[in-house]
Amino acid sequence: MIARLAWLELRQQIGSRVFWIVFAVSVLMVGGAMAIDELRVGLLTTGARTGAAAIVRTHLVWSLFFLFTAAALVGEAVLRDRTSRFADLVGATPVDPRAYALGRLAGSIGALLVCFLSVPAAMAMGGLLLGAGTGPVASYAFALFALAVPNLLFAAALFFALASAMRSMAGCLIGAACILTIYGLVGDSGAAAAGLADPFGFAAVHRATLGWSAARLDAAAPPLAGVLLVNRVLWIGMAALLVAVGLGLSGRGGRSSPRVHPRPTERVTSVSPRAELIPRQRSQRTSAWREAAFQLWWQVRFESARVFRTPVFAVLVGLGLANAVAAASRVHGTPAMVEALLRSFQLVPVVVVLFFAGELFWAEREHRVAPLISVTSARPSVLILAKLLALAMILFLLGVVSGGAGAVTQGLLGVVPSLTAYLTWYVLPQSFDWVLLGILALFLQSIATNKLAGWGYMVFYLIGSLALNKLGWQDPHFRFGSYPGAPLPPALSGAQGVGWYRLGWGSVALVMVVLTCNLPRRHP
Amino acid sequence: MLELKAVAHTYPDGTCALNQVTLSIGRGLFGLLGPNGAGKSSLMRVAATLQPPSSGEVWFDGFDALAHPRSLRRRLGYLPQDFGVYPGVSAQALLEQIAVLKGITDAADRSGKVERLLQLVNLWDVRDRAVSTFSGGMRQRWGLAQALIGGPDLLILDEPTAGLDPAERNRVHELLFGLGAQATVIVSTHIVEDVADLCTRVAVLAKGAIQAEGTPAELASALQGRVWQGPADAFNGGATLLSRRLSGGQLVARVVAEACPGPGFKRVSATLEDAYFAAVDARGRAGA
Repeated sequence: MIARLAWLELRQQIGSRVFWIVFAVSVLMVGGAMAIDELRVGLLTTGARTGAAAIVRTHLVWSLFFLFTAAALVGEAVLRDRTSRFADLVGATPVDPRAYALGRLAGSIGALLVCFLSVPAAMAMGGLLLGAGTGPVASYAFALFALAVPNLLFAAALFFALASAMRSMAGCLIGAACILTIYGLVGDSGAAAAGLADPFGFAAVHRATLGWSAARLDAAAPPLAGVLLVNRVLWIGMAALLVAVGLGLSGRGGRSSPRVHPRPTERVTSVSPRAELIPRQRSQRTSAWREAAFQLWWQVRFESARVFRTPVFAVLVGLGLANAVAAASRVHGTPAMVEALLRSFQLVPVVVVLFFAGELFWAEREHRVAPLISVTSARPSVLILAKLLALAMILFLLGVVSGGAGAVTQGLLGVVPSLTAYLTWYVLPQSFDWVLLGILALFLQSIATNKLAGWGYMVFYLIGSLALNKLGWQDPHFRFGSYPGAPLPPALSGAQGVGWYRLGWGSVALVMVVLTCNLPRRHP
Repeated sequence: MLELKAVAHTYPDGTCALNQVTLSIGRGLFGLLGPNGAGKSSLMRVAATLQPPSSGEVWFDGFDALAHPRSLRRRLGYLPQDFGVYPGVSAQALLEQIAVLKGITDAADRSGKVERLLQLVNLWDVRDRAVSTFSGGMRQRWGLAQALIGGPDLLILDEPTAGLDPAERNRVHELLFGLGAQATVIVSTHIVEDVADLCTRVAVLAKGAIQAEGTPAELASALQGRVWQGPADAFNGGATLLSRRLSGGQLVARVVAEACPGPGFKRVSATLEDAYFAAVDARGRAGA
């Protein structure tokens, strides 16, 4: 049964667009990194391109990049029945819910591993095309089976447990963001030197190859022994534990959505409804503009409240603040604090923009409220603008909170913060930059066929931005939202004319807003 | 008056949902009957300006609804066959949101209307509970309340009694009957009894086309004197079968025939249901 379910799940995942998009991006990025030094994100810049060290490092780095892929594939496998309301049908069969969940997990892990094969395949092909050879097969085998596969298993198990516990893709996203943030914090603190504590094996590999010459590093991968072996066994064990937790939570089984049985007092009374009780008096009509303005204000409140109340947002803010405070506590003075905030508090706003642009844009269709909303007299542009303004409010609040955390940290360190500087160097300019990103994310959602595709487009944009940065193509005339001296404000970078760049990119963003409001919608 | 003129709609996958549908629907209760897949929901969505038809026109009280959909929506109440709700939002808050989107901006006016509607559908006591936790019947009643916001002149109700128990169904019928005096109410359903009890005029839709239209009495009278009922196993196939059903533990058949179609058959009064089956079956035979 489990094998059959796993096979079904594997086929379903391999048939999905997400799988092939990630596969293609991996091939492009790994192949590109083979050919272009500037694209070797996190990879070694010395040594043979297909030497053992390069092979090991590439597999390690990409198993980290595959965190979000694991979150998407495993989360999809766990939640598909629930979101499609198929769970009630499955729950009525005699299948053991744990066996069912295990089958789904196994299939999604299979898909994840098959997708990851794009990395060694692209590396080998790239090496062949460059005339450097494919590299030692033993190194590929070691990197794949001893390093990448356990990492992917751990990630899959973690997201399986999170998705089973939280019953939402948000849980997986929080997990991915948590891991990356904690990884960054631990890395900065130097604690990563403890080889056992690192679930992805970077520190263990580093310890295992300490003191190796460049030639030795290129010739062979480290032996699977000592700290490295213990690390692998430990974290595979953790993965098994997480799977057990997830299976325990899956045993709750049950319905697609909770329903409350009506209490007896809620039954129909004997009083018959009379149509004349229906309020038929036409409401006093205000002007069209006042009506639209009121609807906009109401919807902004409604949309932003829905975001603020989510645990995802609270966790993301908490993570970001932890990261920001940690970075700010290592410097002194307002300029240094602001710069530390600018460089450290980057991931959370990006994740907020990426995630919530999709959640906001597709909310009506996902919750099947669209037929009720679409037949009201509210203009579609009002509804879209409300989502944009809600996202802008959320991003501004993030700026205020993170800036506030930096100012408080500075104060606690005995240096009086300049609140005006925080406001004009950090809160306002960063909020503007984040809002531009938010507008782009909403626009990409509006041209996507579904939320996942919209997220994919945004991930493409982010990966492309990273690649262009590495290639040195940072001319602010051609990079959306960029300006001279970015990300530092002009007061810190000394750059001139930043306002004109903001005005220009703001105009582009305005065009995107108009397009988003006016693009024809697919009917609900 | 709602007028649909030669409305046709084909979905991107090639499914022809509506085929030159022409209807004039005045004030009162109008029933739209049809089997599953007949195109009733598609017609409701076109009339509600939720989706433009591939061809045809929709007019309401003299203005082109397809050219000016917002003008229609200001006077429209719509209850879809299937709808969802935002999780965690209370019945009152969600109803207020719909009211705002329908243009009711005055707070006192809005809260008054919302309160009266929730009392009307017997959900006032649970106004603070999330609609997402309601039972199917409660959710349907909330759906009816949101359709009635603003006192619409055109009410389009797609399967309004779906999921309701008999007592609630009767209650909704009484409510709809009163509404018919004040607005154009279109009730789409496959439950013939609902339409027979409520509606002054009926249309039968099958395979995207109108098969019959008239008052329930007119449609039934077209078969008057020709409907027979008897044991199903005595039916020898020499007449047009309308329906087979269990009655008192016995399988009985109702047929249309000029003369007695078999032993045990008796002539019975034609009903709207007979007319419905005759219209739907005629389409099936024509299309075969």
